[in-house]
Amino acid sequence: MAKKARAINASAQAASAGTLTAPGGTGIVPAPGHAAPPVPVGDEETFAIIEPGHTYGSISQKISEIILHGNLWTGWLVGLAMTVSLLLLMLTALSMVILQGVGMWGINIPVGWGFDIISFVWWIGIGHAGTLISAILLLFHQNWRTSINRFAEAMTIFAVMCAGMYPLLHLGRHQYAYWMFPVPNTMQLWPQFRSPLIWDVFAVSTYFTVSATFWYVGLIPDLATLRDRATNRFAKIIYGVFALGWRGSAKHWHRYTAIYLLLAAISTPLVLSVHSVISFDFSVGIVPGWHSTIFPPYFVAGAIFAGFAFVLILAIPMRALCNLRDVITMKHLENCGKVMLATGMVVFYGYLMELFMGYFSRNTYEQYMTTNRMVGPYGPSYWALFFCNGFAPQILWFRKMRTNIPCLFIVSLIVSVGMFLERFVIIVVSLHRDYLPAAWGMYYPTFWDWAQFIGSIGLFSTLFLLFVRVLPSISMAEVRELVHHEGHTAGAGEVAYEEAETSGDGQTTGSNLKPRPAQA
Amino acid sequence: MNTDQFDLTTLNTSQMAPQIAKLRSTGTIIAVVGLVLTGLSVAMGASAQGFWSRFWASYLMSYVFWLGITVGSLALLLVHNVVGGGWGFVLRRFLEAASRLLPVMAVLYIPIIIGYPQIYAWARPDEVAHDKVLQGQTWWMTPAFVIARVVIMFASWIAISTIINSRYAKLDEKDDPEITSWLSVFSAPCIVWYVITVTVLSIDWVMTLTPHWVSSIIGFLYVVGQGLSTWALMAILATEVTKGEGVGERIPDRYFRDIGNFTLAFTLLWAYMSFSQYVITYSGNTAEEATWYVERSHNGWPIIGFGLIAFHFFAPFFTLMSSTVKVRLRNLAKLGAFIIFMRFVDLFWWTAPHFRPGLTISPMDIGLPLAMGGLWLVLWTMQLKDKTLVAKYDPRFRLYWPPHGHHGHAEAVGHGGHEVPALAGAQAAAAHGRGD
Repeated sequence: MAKKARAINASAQAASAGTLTAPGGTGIVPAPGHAAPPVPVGDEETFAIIEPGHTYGSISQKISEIILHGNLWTGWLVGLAMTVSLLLLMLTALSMVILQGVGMWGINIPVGWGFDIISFVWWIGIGHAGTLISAILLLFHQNWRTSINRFAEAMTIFAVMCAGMYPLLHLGRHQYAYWMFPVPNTMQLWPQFRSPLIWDVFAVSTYFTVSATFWYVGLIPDLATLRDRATNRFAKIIYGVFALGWRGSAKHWHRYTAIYLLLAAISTPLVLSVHSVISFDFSVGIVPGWHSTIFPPYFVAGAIFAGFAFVLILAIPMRALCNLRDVITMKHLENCGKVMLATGMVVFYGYLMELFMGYFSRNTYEQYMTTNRMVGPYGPSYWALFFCNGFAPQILWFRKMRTNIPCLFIVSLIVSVGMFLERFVIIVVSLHRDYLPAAWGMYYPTFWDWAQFIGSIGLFSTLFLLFVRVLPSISMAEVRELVHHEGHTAGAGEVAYEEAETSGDGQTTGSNLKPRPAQA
Repeated sequence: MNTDQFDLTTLNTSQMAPQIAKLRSTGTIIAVVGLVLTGLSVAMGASAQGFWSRFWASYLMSYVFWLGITVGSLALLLVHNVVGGGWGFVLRRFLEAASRLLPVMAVLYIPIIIGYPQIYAWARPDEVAHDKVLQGQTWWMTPAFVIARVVIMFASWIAISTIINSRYAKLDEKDDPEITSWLSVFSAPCIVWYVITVTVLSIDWVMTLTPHWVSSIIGFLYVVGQGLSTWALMAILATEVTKGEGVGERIPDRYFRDIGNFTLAFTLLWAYMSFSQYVITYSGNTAEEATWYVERSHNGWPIIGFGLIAFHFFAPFFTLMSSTVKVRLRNLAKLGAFIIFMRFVDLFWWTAPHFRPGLTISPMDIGLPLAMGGLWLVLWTMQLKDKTLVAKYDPRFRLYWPPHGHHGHAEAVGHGGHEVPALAGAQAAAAHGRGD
């Protein structure tokens, strides 16, 4: 097939050029500035899961080098400065809301849920791709997930952090947040367990706990690698403490694999349950536009859709900046594109079903809601939604477009905007005109709404930049396993495997590493 | 696993003629029993009030099931063309044979058109004239427009089935990767069309049995239901046809455990969607929607509802937790028979209550599905031509057969995963990965 032929071509070119596979266990040291391999672009990108020629040593070297090279990298610092300033904006907005109350936002009666809940659902949805990649794709033995699962899981955790902030702020009386938990108390207060808002508390907190545990357990072997490779004493101690005494013995690996699979199995239902519960927040109510039985599967598909778009938004710059094109290959990007296309179709199907049922049910309120979405005061948001989530992703049907990086990046951005619009249409457009015309109203986000939302992107990006700097954004242990597997299937990989068997990478201690020159 | 003398690629359906002949006679017996039971019902009750609406509802139930298997088989072929997987190679001939029965299913729909006025409020002009909601729905629900949609659906399915079957036939003759890649490109949009048509079908044929009721999840529920029925029946048919040929016994488990995994996934999806529909309808508690469940919560019907929770979800779910069931085709076949029975109970729950005041079961409720199923089975066995069991020229098939050593190719394409050899690899990798 064409796909295979291209992959083989790419590896043949690489082998003949001799640029990508340096001999010996040291593998490739892709430090920019000295003998860097020509950046593969376009057709030269590989469609293999991992660029053939990698050895165990080259993988450890390549990924840990991003973290352990010693000096700070100007581009990263500039990025951090930008994201921290956004974070400060969020902290300001947060302080305003805590000090002055939720009246700082544009919410009112009838639109009691505005940007806060929209952003909550938006962030939670983004997290779902991480769980899908790390858990479901693991259980389905999709080994292309290996190179992207670590940072996707980090994305999940940070996104859930951003999301969790909103309902807490929305409470208004933040000091009573603990009332949401079933804490025995003398006031005889007890949560209303029949309310999906309480299910949310448990769904989201479980989600965060399981995701964080899964992520940390997966990190342990890599933390040990970093401990062993670090030259800085402080780094050695810190990584050593968090590596929990990992020695890589057979017993360790046996237990590690068991717990990892177990956590994957626990995480799997969460992919469905968390966003289903969030969809219940809306659909169990009888507000026209909220009450539709398709909500749970269509919210879950929307979450995965948004999440994969975000994975691409993060992966595309990351693989360029950290020079990871041979590990996060075209195959990963294309597969993400395929998942986006499939889940995007489900989401679009959901919109069309709502539209159809709105008119088919002959319910006056449903009909009005549907018409109001299209031609009401917020009409443009509905059409923009159709464009962003319905039409734009259709370009991914074409392989040429799926493998065009700028195109993938732009579609991902459009989808992220579309998913925000989707929640806007569902929440605000439904609430602002429900049953009684006398109770209709309008909603306009204030400066503080925007500050809170844009600021939360700052929180996310700050956490993500810190993560990329101090932890391996690609799982070294799992990618080494991948190298081992690929070694049995690809000609070039076979050589790499043999090399690793004979020479190991004993010589590639941290002291051999050249610090990465600062770059913009 | 002893695979020395066993070669999957030389296995031919003509070798299985005795098993196929046996299935054909079983099918004939089933059909005759079904017809007798149906005849009995008609003879006893044809004069009773409302009998014909109950009859047509029963016919619709068995039709929706057997059509679901036929279109579901086509859908699984389309999915396999796009994503591949070991399951598709062992089920290929059986799915192909089922997909070729679509013209027969089209003919079997014609009696339902005669029964329209008996079962659908939108097909009774006097009732529509007095019902504002039904009047408002005439832009979609008129007999002529419904029939037009049925014609379009069948025409498109038959066209898709003919096209892919002819390409499969070409692929059996020569080794041509072009055909596989063409099928993959062709099948992806066909899957979209399949979901659209099944949605339309579920709305037109099933949702409107209860006038005024709407549920936007119904399309997905029927897609999942068709999938589940198809997996279950294919496990049975594959086991019966290949009995004694060693297919189930001599192929390493991991190559075909997907069949079990998919059965589990579809069981879960069915439960998830049915539960979602229930929670949302129950909590909303609006008159036009809750009617559907109110009808089913009196006069004996709750037994069916609780039975579905226990035996359409929990029983298969816990059974499939055990990997001895999941990875053995023969065990899956036994579970498949049970799942198929529960699929009928589910469809009975969807179609019957509106036409019966209380829970009653008449011989035709069993007879009609048996008669149609027997006929389906006989015709299906006739479609099993003299061909190799697997599509040996499909380039993807080479990743599955012959099974390699502990690091077989199948693992590289994602079917070995984290088994013991993988763990050994990880250990080796870790040992080398440690710096000092």
